[in-house]
Amino acid sequence: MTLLSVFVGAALGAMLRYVIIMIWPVQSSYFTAILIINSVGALGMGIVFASGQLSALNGFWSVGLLGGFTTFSTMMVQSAQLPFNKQLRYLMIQLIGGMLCFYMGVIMVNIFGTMA
Amino acid sequence: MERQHNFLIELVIVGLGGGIGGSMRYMLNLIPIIGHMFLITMVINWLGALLLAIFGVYISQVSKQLSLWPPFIGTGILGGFTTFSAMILQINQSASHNYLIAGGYVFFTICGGIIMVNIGRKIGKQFDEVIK
Repeated sequence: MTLLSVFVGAALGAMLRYVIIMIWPVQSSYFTAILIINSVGALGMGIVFASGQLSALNGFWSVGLLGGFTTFSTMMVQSAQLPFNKQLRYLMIQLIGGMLCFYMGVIMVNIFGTMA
Repeated sequence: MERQHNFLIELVIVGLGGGIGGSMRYMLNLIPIIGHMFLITMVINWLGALLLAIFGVYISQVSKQLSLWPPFIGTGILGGFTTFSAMILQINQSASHNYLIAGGYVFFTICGGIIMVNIGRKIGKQFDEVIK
């Protein structure tokens, strides 16, 4: 059963990611669709984490939807198209953005309360 | 362009691939002992980066005949297999125990990923020569 909810969650996450990549209007080395996708995914993970729902909702939300939505492989391959110093800068922006958004999710739960 | 026309088909294909990739990631997390350690996320991300780099070089040579394969394998399976959100979660969870472990985790994930992409590109170019 968990496998099914992971499958459905990851499928929805990947589809959402594909739509955002396709409609992304900005041409920039750093401000890419993947940056927004990973940041939003990290925010979601912060909310799930702070809600204490990691085990109960693990299947659909964290492993499935957020795991399938965010991507590491595309980020790495995309970064490798930049010169090395820009590549490191891009990856730093991704990491710092992800960490900040994660904390923002945790803070949101502390202010607004848990979602579930 | 037929691309507009095929968007819905591509979307379904991406969803199918994402489901497969995510399920594979989930099943690797179920491996006893090592599956629960955060190292498995690092290995998943390395492997996904390696395969996507190989696939990217390969597909750039034969893209015309394989129009539905890039969204299925690249965006779907490999994009859904690797994960950024779980990595951020692992960084925070290990940072709550030990900052050194968290720093090492970030360092090895990113450096390993860069190395994997470079290896993948080299392998992909070898494939090209075989095809030609």
